[in-house]
Amino acid sequence: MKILDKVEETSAYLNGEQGQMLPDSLREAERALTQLASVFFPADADIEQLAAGFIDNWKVKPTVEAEWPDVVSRYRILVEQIPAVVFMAFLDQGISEAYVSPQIEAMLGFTQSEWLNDPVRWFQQIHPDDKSRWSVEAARTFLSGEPLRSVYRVLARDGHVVWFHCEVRMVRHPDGRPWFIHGVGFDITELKQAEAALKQAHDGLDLRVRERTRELGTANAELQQQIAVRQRAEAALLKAQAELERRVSERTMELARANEYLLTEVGERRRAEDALRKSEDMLRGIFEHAPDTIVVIDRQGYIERVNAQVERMFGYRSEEILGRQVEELLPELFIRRLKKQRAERVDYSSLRPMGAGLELHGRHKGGGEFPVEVMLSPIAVASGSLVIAIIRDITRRKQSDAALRESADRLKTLSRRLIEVQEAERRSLALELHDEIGQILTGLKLTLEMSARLPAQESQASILKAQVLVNDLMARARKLSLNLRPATLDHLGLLSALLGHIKQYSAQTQVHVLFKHSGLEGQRFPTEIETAAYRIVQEALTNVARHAETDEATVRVWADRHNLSIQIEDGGKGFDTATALAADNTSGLAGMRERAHLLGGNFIIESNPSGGTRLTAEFTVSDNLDGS
Amino acid sequence: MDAKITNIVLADDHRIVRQGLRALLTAESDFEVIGEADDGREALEVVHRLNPDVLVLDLMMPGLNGLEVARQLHKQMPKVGIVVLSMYDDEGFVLEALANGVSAYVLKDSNSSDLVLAVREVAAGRRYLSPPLSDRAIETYLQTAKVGTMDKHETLTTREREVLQLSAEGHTNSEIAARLGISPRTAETHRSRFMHKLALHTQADLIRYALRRGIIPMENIGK
Repeated sequence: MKILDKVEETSAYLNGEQGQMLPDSLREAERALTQLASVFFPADADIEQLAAGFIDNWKVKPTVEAEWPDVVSRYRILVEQIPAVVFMAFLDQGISEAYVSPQIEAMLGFTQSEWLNDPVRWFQQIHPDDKSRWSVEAARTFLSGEPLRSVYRVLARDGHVVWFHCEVRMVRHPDGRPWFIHGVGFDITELKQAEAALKQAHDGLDLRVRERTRELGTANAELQQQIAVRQRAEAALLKAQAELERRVSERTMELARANEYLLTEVGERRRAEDALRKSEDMLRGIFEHAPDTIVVIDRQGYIERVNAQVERMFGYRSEEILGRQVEELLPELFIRRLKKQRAERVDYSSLRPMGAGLELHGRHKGGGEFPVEVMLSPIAVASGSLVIAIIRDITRRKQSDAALRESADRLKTLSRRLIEVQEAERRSLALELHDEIGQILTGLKLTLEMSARLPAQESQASILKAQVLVNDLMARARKLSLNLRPATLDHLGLLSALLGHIKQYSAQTQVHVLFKHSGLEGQRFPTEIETAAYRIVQEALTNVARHAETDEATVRVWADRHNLSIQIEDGGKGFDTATALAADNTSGLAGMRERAHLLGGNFIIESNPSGGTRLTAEFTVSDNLDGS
Repeated sequence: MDAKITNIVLADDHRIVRQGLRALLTAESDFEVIGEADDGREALEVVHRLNPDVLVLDLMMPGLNGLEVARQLHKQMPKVGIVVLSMYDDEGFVLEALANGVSAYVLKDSNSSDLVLAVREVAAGRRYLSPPLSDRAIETYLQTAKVGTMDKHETLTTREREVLQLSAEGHTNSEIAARLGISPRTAETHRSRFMHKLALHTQADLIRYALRRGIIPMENIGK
């Protein structure tokens, strides 16, 4: 911008007043000269006439001096007044016939006569640089007859240069021959000088302008160049930038793609890792938290890996047992291995379990042994074959097996005893039927037969006797029935049955029974519980009568919504509980306990040889509520 | 003997017994046996149909027993007198029978005259019990049967009493266990047992109980 402004400014200056002034004044001067010339040289047509007259007049001058003072003086005055040199020269006569106006002296320092007397003076005085042009232009005028109008430098006497504007015309003879020339020379030195000054100024200005323009051009060019460079640079930059952008976006896309791929891959890998970890975790969890001790051994029987259970089961910390022989845990394996292999180099991988598992003994770090079940399974891995030994502590199983066996034994004993009791009952029933009822029936039969044979009045006594026998028979049958199972237990319930039994028991044994109860009235319980309760009371009271050597006993029965409890207590001779239970004698303690247990009840025996026995049985009669 | 005829229905599952009974009762001029039944259901049906004065009913019959027949009949036809004939002299049965609307309870092994007397008494609107049974015996039985109040404390085992006392004195299960040489778990079992027996729920209940029973002295409180 600044540069453009400068150019603008310069151009305005150049087209300004100073620039305009000079050519205009120049043109004005030229115009003035032309006008002047036309004064002296009227229209061409007149000139020849004028010239002829003028020459004629001129020719006669010396002779007829008196006739033309007017004309001569008039023209002479005119010619010699004008600020120019007027000259005339005949082309077909010598230079002596020429004329030059006296102004020549003022202009060039040469007198009129000096000028006219030396025919080549004027040519000599023409500035050397303009001589050839003068010759050419003069020759053209002489040959063609065209007017000459030109500017020449002439050297004055003192040598300074005077600029002349010359207007020369050639006049021909009527026959066409060149006759003379006449002309006028204006001193235009000042004009020329002014022109030169102007020109110089103009040139200087022009130079300056050109310089300035050049400078500006240069500057401009430089600027343009710089701009171009900068534009190129910018273009290059833009291009580079675009390229960069493109690359960046490409790269970004590539990265995004790569990222996406990576993410996918990472996701997959993570999922895979997760799955693997989960699977590993699960396997480790299974391995570590398995209830059994798991031991991984190599072919030589060295422990390679073991789970945490080894500490609980064997007392070794896992790092303690790693690398040791499996026989430290399972000593019997050695014998088994020897038996099986009978080879020096043993291979544990061939130790296959027979059936489900080996029942061996584990050896605790502390030295104790305990029963275990060992499952051996060989597995093939990259590094060879290994054996996994799963060791289960079967102490508890053995114990429960034992308990089960014991329970089974007890049940066997009980059922044997039940059968025995049943047989005893049958035997006593058979005995009763045969020995008592059978005998009475026989007696009755005989009595009735006898009475039938007797006369009527005597038979009366026999029938009375028979009646007594029948009543006895009924009483026995009732007692028999009652002993087998009281009807009250089925029809009226536990309370009635116990009341009946206690009454009968007291009557028979003379043992006074204090019967206390609560929650029984109007209550019925499951038949098997009522039966068990009744039988336990019956059996316990029988024991009191047989063994306690006392005449007093207490029976307590209490019930609520959930439980039925019975208790039989006496203050008589007691016994050692364990001995009594083990003896399994006629006391029937074991039987009572079995009855209670079979129904899910408790049976508590409290006794002391020094005195007192208390038996308590508790039954759950309803399990639909919390109960405790 | 021109008194009103007493109409009787017999219900017994033994035909031979019914024959004996019929012989015995029809021997009386003012008795007439108008129907017999083989079991409880038939008895109800026959009585409904014949509307007798007296039903002689065996207590033990298959299907519907005598007690149940008596109960239903007493509700539906209260004017029919019921004489129960039973092998059992158990007061429980007697009471149950009386409670079910039976007017007379006759033992099978009593004299035959007993039954005739019972039928007459019932026909006259009175009650009758066979000689071995008496109102007095029934009274006693009723009292015995009604001894409902029982001291639950007596039902505690020795161990439970020991644990109760120590617990009331403020000992923990562990202390009690150490004192008695049993495991804390066993001590807790004893404790929950006696708490349940005595229907106690909180330690405050237990202390109140122990104080009331004099198991722990008053002056121990607050220490």
